[in-house]
Amino acid sequence: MLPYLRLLAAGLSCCMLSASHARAQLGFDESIRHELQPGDLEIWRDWLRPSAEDAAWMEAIPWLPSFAEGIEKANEAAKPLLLWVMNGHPLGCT
Amino acid sequence: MSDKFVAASDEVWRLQRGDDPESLFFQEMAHHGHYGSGRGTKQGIYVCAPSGEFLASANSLSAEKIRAMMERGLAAWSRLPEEKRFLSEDAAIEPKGRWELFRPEGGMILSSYARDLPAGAGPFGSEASGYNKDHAWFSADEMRRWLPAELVVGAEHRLPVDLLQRVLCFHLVDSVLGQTLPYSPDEVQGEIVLRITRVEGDRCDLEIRGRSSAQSDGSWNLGENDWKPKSGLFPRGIKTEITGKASYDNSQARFAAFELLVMGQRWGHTRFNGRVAQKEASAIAFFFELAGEKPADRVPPAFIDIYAAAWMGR
Repeated sequence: MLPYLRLLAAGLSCCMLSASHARAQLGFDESIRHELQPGDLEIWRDWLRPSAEDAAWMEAIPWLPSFAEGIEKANEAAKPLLLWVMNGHPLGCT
Repeated sequence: MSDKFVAASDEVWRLQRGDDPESLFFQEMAHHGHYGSGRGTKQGIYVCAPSGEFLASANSLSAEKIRAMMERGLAAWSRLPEEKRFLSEDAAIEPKGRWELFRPEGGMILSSYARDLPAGAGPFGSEASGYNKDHAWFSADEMRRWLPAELVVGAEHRLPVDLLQRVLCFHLVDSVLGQTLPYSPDEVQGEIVLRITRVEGDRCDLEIRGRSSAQSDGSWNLGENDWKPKSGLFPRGIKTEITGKASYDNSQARFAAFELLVMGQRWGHTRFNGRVAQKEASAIAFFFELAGEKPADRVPPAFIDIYAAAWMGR
């Protein structure tokens, strides 16, 4: 069964099991199936990769990956530095 | 407007509390910003001169507010005297101890993407939700340990436990909506098996299969480090199935291709991973592939500081 049909089936099962969901107990949900099938890699790969829209902010702006590199490059370019800092690197897991 | 700036991004945790030259240079600048000089977070977006002179800052999800802040920064830059604009010759900003310095050149660098799977739909006709990304690092020696000893068709190889634990503890974690906590080795189990399906010259193709399960009662078993929660228990779990394929070039001693699909379900939450309000389990997926060579591809794995690999040198 194609993955989306498997998930549809899982979704229907979830509806039928709404009473147990209402309790919202912590733990795994046996109605969520995840058996992989041949071809899943090809089917899901492009969906999971960032789309062009997802990655536009990284592609359109040549972000440097560290403050020090930014300062040095800004000094060479005689421009101000635009610095984005987060808990978790914005270009990585944040 | 972006061409009027040089743009950089960075992890703020080290910069706001470190005592190395780069961190101190940042702190001196950021203390003039929106969060002031206190000891709290300095997250946000800043405009500064290469000299370290603060020009403007904000921490907002509003594009208009950030645009206005950038315009204030440009105006301040235009007013800044020439002699205050540039890095002085004796300024110290040299990075020390950055994890990027330990990037295992010649090893295997993977990019990973994590997303929630849609309920009742699939990749056809459904828009993907938000995602998070990370990198997974393996040294050259560790990369070779992904392979069977003999590169012959039919050879099967179980990924050694230390490498399996790196994948399961640090990379199959629910970070889709925000950074989360790792699992400890005693909280994970599973296997990843690689089998050679084809050999042609120096190149061999492999298929990858596996499964994983991680479950934590919320207690912290990874010792004293920056990830240890200050308070609270975070019971959570994730279980997956894994499939993939790879192609190894023996003459180049590197993977020419590597793709891993991981699908499963997660439950529970941690303080910052955006699941507090989501009480029920839900479907999740990951995709791993070889990273590129762009500057962003040099960003280290989120949990690099607790990889505890000998090649990291500290």
